[in-house]
Amino acid sequence: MTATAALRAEGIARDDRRRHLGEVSLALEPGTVLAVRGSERESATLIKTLFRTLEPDRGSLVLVAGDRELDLAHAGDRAVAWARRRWLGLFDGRVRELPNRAASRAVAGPAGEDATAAAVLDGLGVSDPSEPVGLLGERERTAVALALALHRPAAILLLHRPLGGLEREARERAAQLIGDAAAAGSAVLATLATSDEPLGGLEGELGSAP
Amino acid sequence: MTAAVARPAAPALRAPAPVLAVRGLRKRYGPGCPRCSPPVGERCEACGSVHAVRDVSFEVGPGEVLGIVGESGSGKTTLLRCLRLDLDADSGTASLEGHGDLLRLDAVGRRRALSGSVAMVHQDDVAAGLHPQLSAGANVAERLLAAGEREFAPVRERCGRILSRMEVGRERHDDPLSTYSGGMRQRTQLARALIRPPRLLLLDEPTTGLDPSVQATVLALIADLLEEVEGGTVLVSHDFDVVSLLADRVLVMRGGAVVEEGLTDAVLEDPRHPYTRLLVASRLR
Repeated sequence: MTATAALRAEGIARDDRRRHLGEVSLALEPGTVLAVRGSERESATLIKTLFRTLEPDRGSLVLVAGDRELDLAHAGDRAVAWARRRWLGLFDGRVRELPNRAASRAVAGPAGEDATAAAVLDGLGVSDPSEPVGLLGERERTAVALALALHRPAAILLLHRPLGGLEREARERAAQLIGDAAAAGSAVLATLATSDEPLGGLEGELGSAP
Repeated sequence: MTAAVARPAAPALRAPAPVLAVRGLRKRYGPGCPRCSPPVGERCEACGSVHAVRDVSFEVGPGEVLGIVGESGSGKTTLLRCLRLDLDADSGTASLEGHGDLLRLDAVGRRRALSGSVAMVHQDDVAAGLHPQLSAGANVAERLLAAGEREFAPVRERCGRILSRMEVGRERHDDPLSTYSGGMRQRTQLARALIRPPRLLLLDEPTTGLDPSVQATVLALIADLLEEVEGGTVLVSHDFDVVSLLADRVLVMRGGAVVEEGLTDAVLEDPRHPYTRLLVASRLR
């Protein structure tokens, strides 16, 4: 991670019935983990709104880097794309990676070491990190997506149900990696299912969808 | 009673200035006429002209990949060919960092821009102007020679290095391009485009027509290379999956016009225009 950043949402909300979000205010500060419990649909909408995949109908969503600010809710798409590349990381269960690439190579990135990435994948329950991503099972692909977000964490990490679908040991390892990311300075938001263990740090709850 | 003290506004974070800013670009095939305003996708009934690019505007930032999707005939390639100065646009501007308006450069300015700042990878090597009888190394070296480099040994060394980086085995560098597979020829095109790091990289359907396994290999290479490109990239493809993997933002073109634009994931998540909805719905999952 190059530099820390914070993300502050003030009264963001979406009226769309299919992707509804009740008014949410939160602050993701460097070095902290904020866990939020709520329904699958509203949690997913929260993450997508914070990442600006979905636009909020109301409220502000301010990225703070150093002494400068950018309101992602009202910024143009080019500015949002730039801010994402520099500061934002996302895990939503989907692998955005070429299916023919070995999982460890994908997670290591062009300049990274396969062995270190393989160790992360192993901890998250991927039995053979040298397998191409496209040949892995669904659970292992989800683990690859999580490793992609956590191995070299962004300044602001948005994680949708990062513990979902993992075996117990892998869940513990994922929780540890999330803690490590925060310890290294990331500002982390993780949505959790009701049954997930606490992650430590702060916890909040989303209102229920209409 | 205490007066509220307003918090001073923090200075704004601003994205870097665009590498390329295109404004109101138009290109018509045919003579045009006073009544020439055919509906999107149709010819002018009076003069037969086709409006291939209609008032297209966009920006690309440094390090950013802008995808352009649309079916055949939507104007994507014509747009790129105007930016590559292979075609003369009828109107509009295309300001490239360090060069001013590309569309109004004189011959010297064009040569300078095309040999150094703008590089294009075409769908096939014929369109790219690769020479099948020359070696891959010689084809790559052409771009360095066009930029005025003349010393044989360093040119050969650089070409060899970048071809190896493109996964073309060193033992094949001196073989004529005509003996190369489609995937190897695409990798040679990439090497030629990147031998001098461009400020603007234009990728026109760079993996279309390749076998699926070769396509995946070339895509992996492009994905890695784009991480390193400091300039802006415009990627044209009819394949939303390719664009969603590589592009930060996307323009959707139909009949020469941009019908929708946005962050790639946002357009995929919530397509607004009926044509975009059709494209998104047609993706294989």
